[in-house]
Amino acid sequence: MKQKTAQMTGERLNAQKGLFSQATIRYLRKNWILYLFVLPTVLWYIIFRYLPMPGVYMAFTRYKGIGNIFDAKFVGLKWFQSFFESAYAKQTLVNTLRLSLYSLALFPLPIIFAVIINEIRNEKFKKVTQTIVYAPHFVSLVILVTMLGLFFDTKGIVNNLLTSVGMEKIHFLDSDAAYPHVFVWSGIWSSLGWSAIIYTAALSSVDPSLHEAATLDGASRLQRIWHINLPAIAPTIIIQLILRVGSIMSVSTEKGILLKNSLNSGVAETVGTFVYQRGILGGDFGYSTAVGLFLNLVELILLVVVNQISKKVSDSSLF
Amino acid sequence: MKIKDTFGDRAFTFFCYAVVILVAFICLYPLWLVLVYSVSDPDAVNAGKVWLWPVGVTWDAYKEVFSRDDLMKGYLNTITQTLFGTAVNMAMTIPAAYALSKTKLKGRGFFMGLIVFTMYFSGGLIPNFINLKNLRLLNTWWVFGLCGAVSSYNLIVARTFFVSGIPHELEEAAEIDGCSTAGTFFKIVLPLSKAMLGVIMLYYVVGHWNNFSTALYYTPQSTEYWPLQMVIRNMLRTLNQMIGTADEEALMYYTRIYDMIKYAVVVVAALPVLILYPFLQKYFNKGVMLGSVKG
Repeated sequence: MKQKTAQMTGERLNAQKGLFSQATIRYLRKNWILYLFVLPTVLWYIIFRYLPMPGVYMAFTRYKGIGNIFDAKFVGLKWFQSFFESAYAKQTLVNTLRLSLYSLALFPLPIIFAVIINEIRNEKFKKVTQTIVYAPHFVSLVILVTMLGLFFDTKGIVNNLLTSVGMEKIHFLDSDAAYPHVFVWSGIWSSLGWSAIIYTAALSSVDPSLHEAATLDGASRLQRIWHINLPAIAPTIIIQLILRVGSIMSVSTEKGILLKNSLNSGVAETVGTFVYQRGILGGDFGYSTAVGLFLNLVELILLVVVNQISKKVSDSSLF
Repeated sequence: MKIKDTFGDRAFTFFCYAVVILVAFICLYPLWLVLVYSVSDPDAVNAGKVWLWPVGVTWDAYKEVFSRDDLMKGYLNTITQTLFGTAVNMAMTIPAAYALSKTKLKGRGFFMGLIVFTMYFSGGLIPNFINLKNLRLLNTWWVFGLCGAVSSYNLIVARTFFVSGIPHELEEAAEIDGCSTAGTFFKIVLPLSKAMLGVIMLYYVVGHWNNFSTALYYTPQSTEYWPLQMVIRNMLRTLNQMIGTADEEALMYYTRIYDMIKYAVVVVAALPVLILYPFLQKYFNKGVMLGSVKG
């Protein structure tokens, strides 16, 4: 009796509210736990990823870091204009592109390495060497830069080696000429083995009977790599290439901040380090948000364009 | 019938081994050298006499590291931030990934869209900074656990695993037997997902352990919260600022002391992670494949 009353009250309440239908309530009663699982995470995304987004409005205001962004004085495209009219625009964009195009040119290295390591038949040897080549990926940027400082200093081991074979010392860490090489090749050192994983994984799914058939037809190993392995990993290569080209404007800001000093800043200042310098250290919020927003938009457009091209040309695409 | 390798094939095999050995050497030697330098006599190191094995073994560098308050405080902060941060990461990633793997979850497409969109567009550094400022999280301890609580990439890897790596008959059987959704998740699904959980946890642990940008951007003034990476970075910066100044003598003095400390501190900072990852190595391939499936 009591139960029935409760049920009726519940029904009447629902009828009164009219917010949720009976079916919805039954569904939620059965599956509320799934929403308990997902909602905190969605809430986190809203607070920490979506709440900042309206903040790009700062790029159009004279926001000083106090009070509400939307109360700040609107200045239109002033910050964009002053960035592009200054010498910083050219300098930071050229520096960014120099580093990113340089590392993009080395994009095939992990693919070549994956193809080569895939040819190793001795499983134990393969496993040990893979463990070793993954190691640099787990070394932090701070440690990497510390190591660079120790080894590539004018008194470090590399310069000792150079002088012992009768060569001139090279100022690796504080000269404009050496900076891009140090930056890009230290990146290759950290990421070569790790970036190869995605290709070795794709290679491991190649059907061995293809290789057997090709061998019987007298194909050499190089021919089999060229005609069987590479086509098999082509979609993976294209996806990785889209991602790389899409992020061509984002050279690691953290690494730039770590490697930059007063002597190499002419080539070390990228758009990312410039935003950090002017925004977080300088408190120039409107200006630095404008520069960051410009960077973000260029990346987004690049990603969409490259993705569309790849969809047309090769059927492989991100979205 | 076994087909005999041609001369060209054998030459190619030899070439492959040579390349792999060379790359492995380049990856390992700098790390090995740091370890060797850290226990060698600094004068022998500076004279360029140490190449493979320690010369004049000394533990002075480690004594110096372990007696410096800033480094020890940083180390402790790194440990607590890694523990707290990873716990938050796992709690925020894994149950959500499970819920998002269920087709019966209404609004699933919307939630996924919300998550995936952030992989392509973000407010950027300064809006994030202002947001954390408005949330009063700048220069607090909480920012280390909260500002990167979920990685979209890891969430998608976990979700793909729950979709394709768990036999759904088991889940259905458990639910028919009267097991609740939560019961199925904790008692059936999670024990079957240990490998995936291990890899994702490793990614998060490494991320926290090596993190210095959170401190750099969001707690630059609160030295008491600085993790080890930030403390080391500050040591570097002190030296960098002196490069090009007139005070050569002071620079020499600091370089000598700091070089010694640096080798040891690199070992202390990098070793825990370098010991950890080989245990999970065999699952890396799988993790990468799961992540590459379109969302």
